Parts: sequence; C-alpha cells; structure tokens
Amino acid sequence: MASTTETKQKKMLILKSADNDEFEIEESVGVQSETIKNLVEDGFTFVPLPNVYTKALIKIIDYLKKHANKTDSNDEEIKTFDKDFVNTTFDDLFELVSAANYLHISCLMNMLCQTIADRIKDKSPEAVRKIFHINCDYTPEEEAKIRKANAQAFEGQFDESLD
Amino acid sequence: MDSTMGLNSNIMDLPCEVLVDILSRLSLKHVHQLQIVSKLWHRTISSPYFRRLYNIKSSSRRRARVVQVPNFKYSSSRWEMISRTIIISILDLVVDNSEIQEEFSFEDIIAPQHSFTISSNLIIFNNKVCNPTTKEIVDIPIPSNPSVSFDVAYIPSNNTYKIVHLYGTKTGYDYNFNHGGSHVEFRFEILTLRDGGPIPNSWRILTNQEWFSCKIDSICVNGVIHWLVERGDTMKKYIFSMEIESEEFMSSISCPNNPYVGEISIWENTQLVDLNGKLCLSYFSEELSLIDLYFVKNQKNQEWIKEYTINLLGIGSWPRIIGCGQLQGNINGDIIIDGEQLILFNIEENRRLYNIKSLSRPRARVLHVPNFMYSMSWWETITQTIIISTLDLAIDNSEMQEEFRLEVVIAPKLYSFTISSNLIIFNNKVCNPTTKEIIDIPIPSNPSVSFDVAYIPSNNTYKIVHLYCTKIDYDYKFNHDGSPVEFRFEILTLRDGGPIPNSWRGLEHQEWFASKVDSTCVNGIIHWLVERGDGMKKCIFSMEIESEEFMSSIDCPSNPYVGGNVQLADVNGKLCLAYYSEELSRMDLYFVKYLKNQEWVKEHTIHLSGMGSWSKIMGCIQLQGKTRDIIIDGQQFILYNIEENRLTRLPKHKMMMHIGLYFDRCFKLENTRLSMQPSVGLLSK
Repeated sequence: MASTTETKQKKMLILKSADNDEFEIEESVGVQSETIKNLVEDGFTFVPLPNVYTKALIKIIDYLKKHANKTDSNDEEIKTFDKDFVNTTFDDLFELVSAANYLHISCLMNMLCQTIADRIKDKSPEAVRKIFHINCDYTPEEEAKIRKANAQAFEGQFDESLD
Repeated sequence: MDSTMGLNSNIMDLPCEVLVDILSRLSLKHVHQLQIVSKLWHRTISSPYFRRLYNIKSSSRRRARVVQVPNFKYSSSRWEMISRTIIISILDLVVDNSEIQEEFSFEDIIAPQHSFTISSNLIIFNNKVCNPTTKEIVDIPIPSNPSVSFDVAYIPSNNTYKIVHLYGTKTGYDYNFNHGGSHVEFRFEILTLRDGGPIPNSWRILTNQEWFSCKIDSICVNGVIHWLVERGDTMKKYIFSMEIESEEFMSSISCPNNPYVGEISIWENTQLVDLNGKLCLSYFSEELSLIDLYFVKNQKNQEWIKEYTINLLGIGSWPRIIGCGQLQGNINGDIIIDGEQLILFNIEENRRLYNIKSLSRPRARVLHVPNFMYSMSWWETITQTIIISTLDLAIDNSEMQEEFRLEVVIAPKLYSFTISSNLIIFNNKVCNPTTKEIIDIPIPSNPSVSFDVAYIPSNNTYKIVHLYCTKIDYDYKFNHDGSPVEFRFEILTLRDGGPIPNSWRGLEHQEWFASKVDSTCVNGIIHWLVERGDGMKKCIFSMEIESEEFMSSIDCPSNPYVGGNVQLADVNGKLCLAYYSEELSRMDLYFVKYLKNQEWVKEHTIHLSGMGSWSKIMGCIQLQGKTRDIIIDGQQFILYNIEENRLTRLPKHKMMMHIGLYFDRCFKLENTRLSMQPSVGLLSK
C-alpha cells in the first residue's frame, strides 16, 4: 500500500529530443525548467523538445537531477559537479546554452553565459570570430571605419588564443 | 552524435538574448572591440536595448575607483594652487592584495569657482564632465550662479544622467562657512545627459527653493538625491530629498541628535551613505573611534533607528565610508571605509575583515641644498635653496627625481632646520613634502634649541615638540663641559586638514643638562641625547608623545672612540645609539637591552672603509625581502643590511646639506578621494 502511494507521488514525465530519443524523468526534476513547468501545469506528461539534441539533453538531465537534490550538506559536491559540467569545448557550451535558453533554466543559463564570457575575456575580434564560427561580413573599408570610430578601445594587447 | 552537436553549434542559431547576456558580462572596452566581429554583433552592441541592459547589469560588478592627486602646480608666488593632476585608478576589491591599476589622468585647473564632485560614477569639475569608464571629458554649460554643489543621479529606465546643481541665489556670499548663520535661499537647476546625445545648451532652473544656512553633505540613493543641511542651529540637521525622475521634492526630515556633539570637530563628523540601496546617516566620533549608522524607520514619524556601531580603533582620523557591496561570496554587509588605509568591514558580522591597501607607497625622499646666497661679507648665509627630491630605493641605480624647491631665509639666532617624522620645520614654518604644503606656525616663546616631530597614527595627527632653554642668550650649542641649565618643552598639535593652533602649549616638565647632542622619534617616543656637564658622559631622556609623559633618563654606554661622533637612530622601530669612528671607519650600533638596569648591548659593528667623515644613519627600511636595510649617508649613500652584514653603494649624489629619508604619508584628506561605483557606459558619441 505504502509503495503505491510513493509511485503515485513520484509523477513521471517523458522528454523527447530532436533526434527522437525519449527520456523518463521525475516531474519534480523536470519543473526546474520553466518551459517544462508550463507544459506540466497544462496537464502534459509527454514533452517534445524539437530544439534540444540528445547529447545536450543527457547533460541537462544530469544537471537537473543533481540540482533537484540540493541540500546544505552536498553544497561542495554540487560545486564540483558544476565545475566539471562547464569544463568542455566552446561548441558544447553553445549547444548547452541554446538548450538551457529554450528550456528556461535560469541558474544554468547564468552559469553557462558567465563561463562563455570568462573564456572569451580579452580575446581579439578575430579569435572570437573563429570561436563562434562567424564569417566576417564587413568589407575591409567598413571594418577600418569602425576601428577608427572606436580607436580608444583598440589600444593595448589582445588575446589571440582559441581555448 | 558528436558530429550532430558540432554541426548545430553555430552562434547564429543562438537567440539574440543569449548573445546579449554573454556580451553584457564583458568589459566595456572589450565590447567596443567586438563590434567588428560581424554586422549582427555591431547592431546588437549599438542597440539602445543592449546599452541599457549592460548598464543595469554592470551595477552589480563593484570595483573601487581610486582618485589620486599626486601633483599640484602652484602659482609663481607658490602659495596658491593653480592646477593639479588627477589620476583615476581601479582597485579590484574582490581580489586580495590587488594592486591599484592606473587607468588615466587629466589636469584639473583650479579656478576661483572651483568644484570637484564625484557622484554616480561621473566626475564633475570646472564646467566639465568626465566619464571615467569611457575616459571622455566634455564641456557642460556654465551654471547660472556660482556652485554650492553638484549631484548626479543615473536613471536606468532611459539610460540618462541628471546633474542637479544646488546654488545660493545671493552672489558673493560664502556658503561653505555659514555654520550657525542665517537662512539663505537655495535653488536648483538640472542638466540632462542622454547616452550619445547632445549636451544641452543651458541648465534648466527648477521652481523649488529651499531655505537653510549650510549644506553638509549630499548623496544619491536609488534615484533620490538627499541633501543634509543645517538650518541655523549647528546642532540640528535636516535632510530634504528629491525624486530625480519626477523632480519632485519630499518633505524634509530632521536627523537624530548627534551623540558626539561635544567633540570640537574640524571636519564634519556627519556623512550620508548609500548602504545596500538605503539611505544611511553616519555619525563619527574621533575620540571613541566609533561610527554609528542610522536608518530611517518611518519617514512620516521621522523615526530613526541606530542599526550598527562600527569600532574603528586605530584607523586614523576622519574616515569616510566609501561604499557598500557584496564583496565576498554571498555575505551581505561589507562596507569599505577610507581612513588612513582602506578597511573592509562587515556590519552583519561586526568584524573588520582586512585592510585593503595602503594608498601610499614608501619611497625615500631626499633633500639637498645646492645653492646658498651669502651676505655681503660672504661669511653668513642669508638664503638657501633646498631641493626636495625622491629616490626610489627599490630600484638599482635609480636617478634622483626633483620634486620641488624651497627657498629658506636664514634668520640669525632663531634659525633652525629640522627634518623629523616626514615634516620639515624651518623659520617658523612647517612643510609637508608629500603635499608640498608650507604653512606658518606660531613663533615659539623662546629661541630654539631643537624641534622634534612625532606622528600619531591612531588619530592622524602630528605633534611638534619644541625643546628650549629658559636662559636667553645662552649658547647651548657650545656648552660642552658647561654646567647644567634649565630646559623646557612646548607642543604644537597639527591635525589633518585642521587649523594651525595659535600658540604653543607649554609643558610643566623641565630637564637640566649642559648641551643637547641629538634627538629622534622612535615608535611614538621622542628621545633626546644630552650631556649633563661631563663631556664624556651622555644620557637619554624620553617622552611618550601621546600621553606626553616623560620617562626616567638612562645613561649611555661610554664612547669607545674618543672624539668620534654619536647619533640616535630608529632601527627596526627600536632606539639605536650609534658611535662612529672616523679613524677606524667603523660604526657600532647599541640597543637598550634592559631599560631598568640601563643595560646596553652592542649588536652590530659596521665597517665603512672609505665612507668619508660624518657618516650618519638615515633610516632603516625593508627594501629587499624580509630583512631591513640601513641607509647610511657619508660622502655617498650606503645601503647596509645588518642581518646579512652586506653593503651596497647607492649612486653618488650632488652636494647635499640636509638629507632626510621620507615616506609618503597622506596627511590632508583632499588629496585622495575614493568612490565606489559600478562602471556605467555613457557619453559615447
């Protein structure tokens, strides 16, 4: 009798990734995402996520599970988890930040944006272009014009590295 | 799977708000650089939405901005300051022991209507506005009336600044010194600065007027400017306020009674502070080293509550609260106090955390006298030029940098020239080489024997002790072997920025001796080395400067070098007696082991072959690593490390008459100002 009550309390959700993989998670874990929470409140138990790919979703579910069980005692453990979580390539970070933005998980968004900002700190525009896979759409003349208008900002040393 | 993720990782897919979020966490300079990444980035960065968001977000990143004034230019008469250099630096408060990073500097011309205000991250001076973040300086229209004060408020909702100018309508009236005076009319005018917009042509005058006698302080908290004023009665203070966006004035509230009114204060001991976005009134007691922080509980009932009392023992006089921020992790209530040093204090936990950084770096200051003007007979010097230079002792082979010159007129009899505790005393004048100020001091009651200066860090004051002989026309300088005569003491106390007392305060104490040999101040105690009649025997008597109590005199060890020189020196904060033999080129350093038993121990012997005559210990500082070096001045500077018995020669100097070792000490609060503000980007064209 007791076990049935427990399963009743532990409501489950199914998340479906853009690559059509399905994941079952506890509702209490999922509602940390505002997007999922809104759907749950409307009575949904099956949540398709057409903008989130499987690899990112696996990592995000890990994150949500860890943070759902936050207590005073595992504070250090969560800090270590978070540190490992963001210790990845720029491309993975962009994938994750895009997913976190779609899912509306504000604490994860904050952590990811801060990590990206810290890692591009003082990087040259050229290095930033490579990191973000951006093709410059300026003509050399246009670029020179903007450089001239912001001459003061271009004094000093740049960081050209891509890590 | 990996390839799928890689393929989709293109920032072009990232929604604009994610890009904005990331960019808003970068420095303004870096953001400006990144405009050339692509047209989309340029559009994003130059959009008003981004700029507004950036400014709101950057408010949470707190750094201290340090404004230093290292250079003053004086008029040809040397008495009036005509311009000064203002250096804007950044001090990262989150990092321990962070260095002050100089950002830029500009020259501030001191006009008769001079004002200098730092408010809401803008600097206003001489009808100019400087945004330290973008380093822009723009002219603003000249106000309709001379200044009383400027205040600046930032309005985040439309990214504008409003400068509010408070002025008195009565021209030629001295509003700054109207304490306890009659009420006068004050009015307000406003200048609105828009991000990148044109500067308005003129100030917009408000219809409101306020009547009070004197303005004490003002501050902008959460879009409301508060002015602290006196309405005739110096004991009673009021605050009136204006909501900056609507420009509506609120009914004034009266302040709680100042618990420290009994203290005669030169500086106003009341300050308005923004503490966590709440208006706070602070009262400071110099005597008790306490700051009380009051907050308004109920605006209608004019009810104030004293929420915190900060104990600031030993912080120095007239500390000001710089600001308040969340500096360490998630703990609230850190406030930064600027006294003689920067202090981080946590009001929630009521503890002083650490001293952030001493603003003054020790350097050696060298004085030399290249020019003498002699009287017609060529025998007496009538004036001499004294050049004050600095020598950076931490750098090998550094050149001496001339700082400024003093012209000294040599008066017969009363002439004296003393360098003690970083002050120069000559001809009834005191010069602080750090601030280059020269002020007159009252003429002592009797001709000089000697002056000594002691610095008291606990309340940031100097005490000048004048030793004089009561027997007029007695030539105390050549009384070796003579009979003891009566000597007395008088004291002059100099407070930071305070008025010079009108007269010397005589002490009861008297000493009998034949001649004075040397004196020095060590750790707040002045020691005089004297002869009591017998030319061979010397003794030292001392005075604790803060309590002005004299200690029983001690006898000196006998001089091993007959005819040699003797000197008192401060070595590692301990009194040292140095005997110097010219013949043997040796200097013996003695320290007191047991004061009661009058036991002296010879701890070091320095060999100084080829040093030349009259070698003197200049001082002792920590130059290399952890051990301290002694600087000796003979015919050249010698750096001697007593721990390692190692000798270094410093570059030869020009002809010198007086040489002193100095450490910068900020004594006059106008010289350093601090403001803790978020960096807000504005004014970019």
